[in-house]
Amino acid sequence: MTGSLLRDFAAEQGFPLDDFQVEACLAVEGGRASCRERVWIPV
Amino acid sequence: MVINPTSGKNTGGRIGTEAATLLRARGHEIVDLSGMDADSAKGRAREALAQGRIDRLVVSGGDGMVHLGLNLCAQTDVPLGIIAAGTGNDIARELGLPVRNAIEAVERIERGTARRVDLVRSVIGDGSTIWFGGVLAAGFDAVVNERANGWRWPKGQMRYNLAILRELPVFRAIPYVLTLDGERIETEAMLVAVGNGPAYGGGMKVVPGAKFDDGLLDVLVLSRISTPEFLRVFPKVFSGAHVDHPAVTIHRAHRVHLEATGIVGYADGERFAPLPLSCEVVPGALTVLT
Repeated sequence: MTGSLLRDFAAEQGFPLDDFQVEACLAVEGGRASCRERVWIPV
Repeated sequence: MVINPTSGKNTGGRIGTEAATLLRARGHEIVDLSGMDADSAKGRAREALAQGRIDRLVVSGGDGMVHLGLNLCAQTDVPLGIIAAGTGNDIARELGLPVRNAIEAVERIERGTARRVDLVRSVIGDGSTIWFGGVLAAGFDAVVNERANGWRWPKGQMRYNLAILRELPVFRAIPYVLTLDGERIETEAMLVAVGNGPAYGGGMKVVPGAKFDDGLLDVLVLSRISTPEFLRVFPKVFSGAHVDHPAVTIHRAHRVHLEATGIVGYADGERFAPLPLSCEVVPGALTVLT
């Protein structure tokens, strides 16, 4: 999973992601952040 | 025995196979009812039950497999055994069962107590009866699930994280009509959850007071709040501390009718049925080996 894949997918779905959101998604996926923190991703 | 090989990030197959090997080594005859997918497994298991070929049904996987198993064993004399091998395992955990441990799970299936627990019965639009054992989500959480289920990519938790990012900015409180044991409540809410058990989503104690054997449903309503406030409240669901928020109300009822437009309810993590839907608790409807 890469940031560019996530960005492309989200843009296609109509909700562009910023750098922080991409980084946060990848951090959760990679186990570097808890899923408990996922709802703190700023939107 | 039904094994979901893709549960627990594809480790569930190994745990299920290990449990089957242990059971065979201890002299049990195992009928493998696993199928190409959940529907075929369900069909095979239903047939085996109807033919009286099995004296207990063992499911290996996450809450989705427990959901499949309880729908087959509800109001029968066949007890359900659970090899908890998923990522969430909320029902197994709340029943005090071992998680991701084939040896201990087999011990419970062989020597555990046959415990009667409540289930929730719903008759849906096509007239069929379906059941759930844990929590029915019918608010923001259900919206996120429905969005994630509509995507074929990405897989796993990432899909849900993206679905949250997709839905949260546009989410507004949903108008509901709830009828709880005949009492009608009109409200606008962010979350509505009906709990036979207390937790969903891998340990989120959304209705922390719900018990599998009290003959009651706990119905959580988180009324309309701002998105920033929702972001502050929602993480507290992990600990159950959200119940102290002034916008949270928890009702108790035997029968629940939920009405809202465009919402699909998710129960035990599975797509359950679109609203409107009615459900009622059936005390002691399932025997589970604990």
